[in-house]
Amino acid sequence: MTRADNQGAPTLAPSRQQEPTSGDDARPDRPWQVIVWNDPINLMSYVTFVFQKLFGYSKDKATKLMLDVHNKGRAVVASTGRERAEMHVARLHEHGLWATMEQVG
Amino acid sequence: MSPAGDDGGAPQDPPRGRGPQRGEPQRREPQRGGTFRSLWSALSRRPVRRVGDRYRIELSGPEQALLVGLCHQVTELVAANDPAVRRLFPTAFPDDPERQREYADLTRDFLEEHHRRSLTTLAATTGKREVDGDEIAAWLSAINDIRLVLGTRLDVTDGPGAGTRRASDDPYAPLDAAYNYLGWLQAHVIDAVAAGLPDAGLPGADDAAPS
Repeated sequence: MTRADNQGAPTLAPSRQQEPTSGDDARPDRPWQVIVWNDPINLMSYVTFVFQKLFGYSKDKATKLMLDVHNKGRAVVASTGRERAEMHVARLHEHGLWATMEQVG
Repeated sequence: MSPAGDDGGAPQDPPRGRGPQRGEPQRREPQRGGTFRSLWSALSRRPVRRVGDRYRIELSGPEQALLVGLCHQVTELVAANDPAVRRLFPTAFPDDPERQREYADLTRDFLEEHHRRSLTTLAATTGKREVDGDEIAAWLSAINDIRLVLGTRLDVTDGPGAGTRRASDDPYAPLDAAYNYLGWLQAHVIDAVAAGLPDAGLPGADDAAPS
């Protein structure tokens, strides 16, 4: 399976893309971090799978991020522009992961 | 997170007992036929297996009925915006109520539709012999949704003692058994689906997380 599952994303992205992209954030140049938090219910193998599927990460990298979430309570799984970060968060929520986003700095 | 789907073992009913655990000495298949053989095949069976680009399903009648019932219940809870399904609509901006409101406005319908569609697909296909890639993705999503709702209701926590069996007279015992069964089933679905992902990842995987 590849990224064949992105049918859900377009419903989110277009309405965002029509908005002005500058002047929205106080510090528009700073990237946004997508953070996944540990939760007691999601299976470890499921979290690894979701990271591989949504971000295209290798199994090793996805496993490392999953273990960070599990052991440290949270992990930054992506760092990008606000709209893209918001899309990632929505897709993680779609998959039942507990994700938030915050601006660096 | 929960270590693995088989950590809690399969529930008592259905399916009965737990499969052989890794690290345990290999048990020899019983020589006697009849009950022993069918018991053995129940313990070691795989409910989902990948065959080419499709997935072969093997669920008993009670398992199908359990899944269909749970799908309907969670679908109703989602439609009613019941507090029990709050976990299916997480907060993106915990420290920024205004942005969170915007995010929720933007995503609520999309998430609700996704959950509803996955649950409907699972309920409609539990009895099929084979499902395709889209259907198994819906299975994974729906099973996870149900586990999130049940786990929240059961107040599942991390750490030692998590997911331990309840006494059979505990009113939550049936929910607990269903929760453990779903973990077992989900682990098998993940195994089957993840086998199709490239270990090396996709070229051009961007947004690199710090490594």
